[in-house]
Amino acid sequence: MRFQTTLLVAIGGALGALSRVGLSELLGGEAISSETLWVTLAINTVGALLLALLRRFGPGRLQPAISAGIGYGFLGAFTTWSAVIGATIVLGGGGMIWMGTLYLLGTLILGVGIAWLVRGEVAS
Amino acid sequence: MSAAMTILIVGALGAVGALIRYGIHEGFHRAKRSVRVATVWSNALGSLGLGIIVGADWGPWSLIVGAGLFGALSTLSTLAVDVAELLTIDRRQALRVVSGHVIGGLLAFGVGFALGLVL
Repeated sequence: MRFQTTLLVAIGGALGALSRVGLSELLGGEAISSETLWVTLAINTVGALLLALLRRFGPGRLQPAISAGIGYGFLGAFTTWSAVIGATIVLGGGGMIWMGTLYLLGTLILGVGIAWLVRGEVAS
Repeated sequence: MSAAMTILIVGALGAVGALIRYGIHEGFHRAKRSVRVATVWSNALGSLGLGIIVGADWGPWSLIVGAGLFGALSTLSTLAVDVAELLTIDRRQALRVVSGHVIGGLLAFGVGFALGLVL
């Protein structure tokens, strides 16, 4: 059971990272180009939506190991925070502090907003 | 580097990043500490790592390790869902968690970048 969960998180993580990097290669440009930033924003927003749906509808329908593989593995690795932080700092360092701040806040507002819209009952 | 090799390496690094994040999560869970704080640490670690390789500038490896390992170690989906849930039960805690992700990430990236420059 524990081994199965670990394996599924690893497989999900590999597929999630490959999907993110693959989409960025296909649709994006250079590392901090606006194309790549849009792709990352779309990936993060879609990933937040899917995880919110998984947390709402997964329990009772999916085995815990499968849920962990999709949630912590695939969606966890598909979405990213380091790239958002990196973009914010690189844009800020290049004199575009407002653009960097807007990107960071936009990522948070879209991700949290979409998760808030589809959230279910919350247990603390 | 061939395309097949790049795919293999990014996949392997993505698996490692996800496993480290899951390991931190399980560690916090077992210690009965907030798993929402565990994600703050994963994101700070991922930002630290990305800062190091951006500072050190390893050419094409910066992108592969940065996007593969540190991209997968850090995450937005859990952050978003955690904060959305906290907003309905404890707004002050939601603000603390989101600040941890933002300030922790920015500071960690800055420290990493400075380390990378001297590496």
